[in-house]
Amino acid sequence: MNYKQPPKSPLLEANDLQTWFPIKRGILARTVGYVRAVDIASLYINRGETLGLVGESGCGKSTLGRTLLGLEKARRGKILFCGKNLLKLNRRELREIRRRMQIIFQDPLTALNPRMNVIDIITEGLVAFGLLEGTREDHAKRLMNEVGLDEEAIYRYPHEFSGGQRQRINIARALSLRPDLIVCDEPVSALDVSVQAQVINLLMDLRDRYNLSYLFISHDLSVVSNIAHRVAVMYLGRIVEQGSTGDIINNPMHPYTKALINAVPRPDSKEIEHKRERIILKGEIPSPSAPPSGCMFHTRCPEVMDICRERAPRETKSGMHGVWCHLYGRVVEWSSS
Amino acid sequence: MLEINNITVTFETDEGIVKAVDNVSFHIDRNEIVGLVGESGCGKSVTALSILRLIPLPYGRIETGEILFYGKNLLDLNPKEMRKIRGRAISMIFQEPGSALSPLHTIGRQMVETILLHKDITGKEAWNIAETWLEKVQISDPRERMFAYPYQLSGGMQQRVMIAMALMLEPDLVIADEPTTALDVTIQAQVFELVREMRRFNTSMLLITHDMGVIWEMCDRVLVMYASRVVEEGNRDDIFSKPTHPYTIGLLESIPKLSAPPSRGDKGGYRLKAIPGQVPSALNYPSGCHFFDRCPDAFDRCRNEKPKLIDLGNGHKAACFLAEK
Repeated sequence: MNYKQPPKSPLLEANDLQTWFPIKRGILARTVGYVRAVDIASLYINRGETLGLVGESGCGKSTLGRTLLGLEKARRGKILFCGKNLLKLNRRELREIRRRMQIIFQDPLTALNPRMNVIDIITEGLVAFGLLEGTREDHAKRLMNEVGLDEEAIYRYPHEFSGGQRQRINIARALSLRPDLIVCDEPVSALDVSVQAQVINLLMDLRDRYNLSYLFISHDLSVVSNIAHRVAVMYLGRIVEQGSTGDIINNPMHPYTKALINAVPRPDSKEIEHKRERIILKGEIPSPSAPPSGCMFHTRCPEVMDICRERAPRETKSGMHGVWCHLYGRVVEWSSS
Repeated sequence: MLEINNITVTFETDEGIVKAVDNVSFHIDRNEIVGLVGESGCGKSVTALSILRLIPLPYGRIETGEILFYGKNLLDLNPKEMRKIRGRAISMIFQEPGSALSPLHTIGRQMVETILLHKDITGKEAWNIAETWLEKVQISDPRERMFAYPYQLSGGMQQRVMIAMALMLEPDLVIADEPTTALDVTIQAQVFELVREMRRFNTSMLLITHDMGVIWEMCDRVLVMYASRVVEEGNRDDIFSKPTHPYTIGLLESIPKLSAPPSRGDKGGYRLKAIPGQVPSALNYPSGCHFFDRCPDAFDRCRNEKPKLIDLGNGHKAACFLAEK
């Protein structure tokens, strides 16, 4: 349970992941094309670290999270969890790994079975894995305390709780198996602002208490900047920029990241407000079933060049900060990926 | 232009009568964007719907108050007169354009229908007006889009169509209920740009949102609602620079800021100042101040006595006993 990672090697590492969904047509259900939800994505998460994954709807961030957990099947690539390639494991081995990777979904109500009470919900995993020591009640009460809920409420049903409390139940369930990694898929988007802050604080406390790693998926850059150590920005199935939260917020390189940060409505001081030029992107995200050639962002990029239409950019790196854009660095060889 | 005095809206539910809006008053001037901010269930949408008298009958009732639009009380109008106001003098933009547009009719047809209902012109002329407006809201190929069905447009496009429909009859007031909540940030930025443009047409707006950032970007004046009551009111800068009601203060502090403080080092994130507890159910609000059980500064008087809005000067008002000095 308290497995010590050798330093330097990340808890989770994904290389060149690709998840496409086939589009089927006709009575023979022939595959006529693919939705390229995740086209090429590489990332890593260290133990105790939170990686924020931001992007707009349809950019593939949820699919990427699900692929990492094996909930979607990757077409290509490698997922290393504690050094083991998840895509090569058999079912038995995978089952053990799954205990160590959990997920929290966006809508806390639909993620809970309405016909099960809280005690059954949050101890179901323990029973399934045969990890129950003592009674279910003791375990459930401990978990309820952990997430700041009243331990007397364990016999109640999900509909009797408010949105924020339901999300706490989801967190308790994810926590029950003592995982190493939790994928948080928009965990606070459905909550009211005043409750959102409580849940973010709870997630941070738990992370620090149990040295958890999070993949924190959100469309809200402010929320991500608040909790994440590092941030990856995704656009149309690809990661376009990755770096420490400070690098991304204070020194964004990719034109898309710049526009995204610029578009966040926020109260600024007077001086900043005047300085802040508005970058308004034209148009909308192209369909992932017919992505543009070259750089995915070239159709909306304010700084588009000829080369962007032809070739996909490679990563230009400075320290931990990587950006996939032709504005930086030179392309060494011609290739179509 | 629009003046709302002491309106109270109640709903009859299985568990009893619920006061969704409790004695709310405010006004909107010409060419002004007023923001109404609050969390879900605070009564902000019901307030907006009551202006157009769209409260679902027979469960919902506007119990008291008056809604004066250019001095005329909208609550006294008969249904036929009310229909003339809706869409023409006061129009509305809903949160989900996908469900506000008819899926069975083309964009063009829906727009033309609305125009013909209010204007005595030919169908051809109405068609032209609709097409020009699609162009004004920056929809590419407006000529062809007129024949498109809503499902053929993206969310951002649909919202543009809604905005065009809300503006094409040049109303005096547009009520926008969370117009960008369903949209991505980059698309939201486009819609904001459009709304700023809209001010050229001398239109006033009531913008309903839960997002303080949106309020900052768009509004001149702000009303903060909590559990069916207005707790604070003032112009934008006052609300943000000197919030007075503990709820407004808490709301502003609980918003995650877009920043990466250099000092935090390896800590990874900083704790937000959250408001403890949760919004009370409308069936059992505290008897005095509705914010009583979550308020960090609550004292005895707040328990049973309802605070009135206290004038702090410059149109800034707060409903809190602490503001009484």
